Amino acid sequence: MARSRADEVLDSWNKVARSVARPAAAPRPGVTRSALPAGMLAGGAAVIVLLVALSARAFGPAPLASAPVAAGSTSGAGFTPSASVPSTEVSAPPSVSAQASASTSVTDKTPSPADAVAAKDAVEQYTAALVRGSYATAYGMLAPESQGHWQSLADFIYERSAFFKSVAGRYVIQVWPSDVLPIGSWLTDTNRSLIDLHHAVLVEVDYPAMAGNNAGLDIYIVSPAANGVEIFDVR
Amino acid sequence: MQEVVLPEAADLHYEQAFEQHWEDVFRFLLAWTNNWAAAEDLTQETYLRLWQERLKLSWDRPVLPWLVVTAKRLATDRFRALRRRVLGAAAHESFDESVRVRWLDVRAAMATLSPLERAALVLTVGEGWSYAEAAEALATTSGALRAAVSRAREKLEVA
Repeated sequence: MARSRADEVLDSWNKVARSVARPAAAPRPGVTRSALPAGMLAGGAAVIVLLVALSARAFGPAPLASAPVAAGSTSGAGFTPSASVPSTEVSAPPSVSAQASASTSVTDKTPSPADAVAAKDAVEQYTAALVRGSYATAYGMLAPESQGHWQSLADFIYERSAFFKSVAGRYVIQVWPSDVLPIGSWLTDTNRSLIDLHHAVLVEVDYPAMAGNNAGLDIYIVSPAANGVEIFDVR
Repeated sequence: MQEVVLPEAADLHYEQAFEQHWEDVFRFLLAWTNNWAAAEDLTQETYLRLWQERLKLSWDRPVLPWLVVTAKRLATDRFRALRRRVLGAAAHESFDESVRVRWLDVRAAMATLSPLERAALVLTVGEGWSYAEAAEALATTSGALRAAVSRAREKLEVA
């Protein structure tokens, strides 16, 4: 009995799909983004934690164990900024027509230029903190919901420190990137009620050292909060 | 009361889940997206999500359904948001020429199906899942899943 066309297609699909090569090692945050051996990452993270603790003891009033890491905390460790100077650029906020051309449920929201500048500044400070190794400061700038995406501050430090070694201190900030879908499409993992869509701004950070890599960019939503702005890590 | 998972045990479970199910997750994502590079990226992202959740999961239950549900959510959310960039980029498909030609043919045929139809067909016919299992993973009903499989077969007959 002749096989059906559907069975032939499915058979071919199965053969091709089963030819995929599984990666040599299970993905882990640090290894995935930096391609460094896990031992080196663990050692690096331990050194960073130690440096944070020593630095906090030297420059701050409290040791790391009691350093606040909850929402709104900006008490970062006193790392010396690196010598590298990041390049940044600010795009103009999108016009209403540009937003309307994209399929989203929030096309009628029009953040002001001041919102865009504040958002860019916040992401600039956040990224600069990561580049210079002030992870607690960066973590404190994230909205509580985004902090909750990590197991703990130590988990955040573990992954981000490995990733930012690959970044090599270079990044480009774009406000309202034109080649990704608009803000409404990035809210699927985020509680919409936490974000003021009338003033929230989409910000992309590209890392030239990782150009062409799917991990070579971060996307944030910056939304007004009681004490300034909050950064939501949406990618 | 939530079970406490020791980090060492969670790491071991995670490694086992990688060895046992990486290809399963990839094939599901390939069916859902019909895009090889996106399926590879999303499989990676699914496992990173599993890594993040490893201390909270109940490892005495099968992990594959969790992986598929998470993969589908990531594919629906992130792939949709990134599709302009993903589709605009040069395809990075890491297989040899003969496989590539076959893949292009199959992909064209599968492109006539919706993501649900492709996933329903692959999970039930290709992977041997029951209709109930596949329906639960795909957040639909058994009836809708059967209908999707039937539609998929009809479409492929003329693809």
